[in-house]
Amino acid sequence: MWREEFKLGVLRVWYMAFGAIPFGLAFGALATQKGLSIPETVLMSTIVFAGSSQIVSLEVWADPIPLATIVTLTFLVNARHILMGAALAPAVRSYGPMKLHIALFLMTDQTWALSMQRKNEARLSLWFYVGTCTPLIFIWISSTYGGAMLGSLIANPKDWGLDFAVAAVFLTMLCGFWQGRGTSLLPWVAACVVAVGMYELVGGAWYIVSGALAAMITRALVYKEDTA
Amino acid sequence: MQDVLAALSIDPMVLMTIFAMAGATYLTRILGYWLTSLYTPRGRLLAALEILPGATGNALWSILAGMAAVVALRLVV
Repeated sequence: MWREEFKLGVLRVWYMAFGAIPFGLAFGALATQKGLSIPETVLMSTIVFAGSSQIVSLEVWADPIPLATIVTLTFLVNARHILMGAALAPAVRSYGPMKLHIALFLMTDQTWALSMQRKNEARLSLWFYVGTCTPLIFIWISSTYGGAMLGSLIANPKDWGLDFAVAAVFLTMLCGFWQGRGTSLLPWVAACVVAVGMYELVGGAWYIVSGALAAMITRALVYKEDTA
Repeated sequence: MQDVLAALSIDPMVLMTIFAMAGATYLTRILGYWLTSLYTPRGRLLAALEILPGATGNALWSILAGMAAVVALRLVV
């Protein structure tokens, strides 16, 4: 019984897991370019295990390390997990505290989406959940390692245009996430204006956090009950 | 040899930063579950949270728009 559930989880996630390879490679290469060692890079992918936040952290990574900024950014970029966890809560409550907290440690966008889908067809078993996590863990960590190896071999990243990779990755991601004019336009404009202003006037990495906060506040202000 | 050692070294400050990031991330992963037993966000607060990156609402994109604007500005100016 558990075998079928595990297998089903793996079957449903594998193509998404392969989609994570370029991100793992990019993250690994960029991390070593930023001065992280290979073990440090792999450790981050293993215990943080949240791609976007890892890539964003590299954007502000410097010497000395701006710890508070990095932790705040990591929290904000991963804040979506709070809503995801809340939505998933009823389906995983029966696992018991120990297994539940391990399962939540492994919650990614992919596992979450597949679990939400699964809980509408049948009971969401722990083994299905684990099945969706397993390929992601292996692929994320090994592609990070591969990227870190490549990154540490390239002496001058600028020759390869790698210094532009983060901006390119983000710009590409940006295209797919427009939620329509009513929802997105004003928060995005607010984020732009505040971020550019902060970058020019204050400097550092505050422009990212303040851009995000500006977007949240704008969204709350323009929110209308009937459009919810 | 020096390069190999540098590539394999672990810096305590980097290690601390990675653990702090892991802690912050784990907090986001369990917070939703914990909060459901106390309070369910809705209305204005839900909308504000949904403009941050997420499955229904996605706005890492708002942050990224800001970063993209800075990059664009730097390229032009």
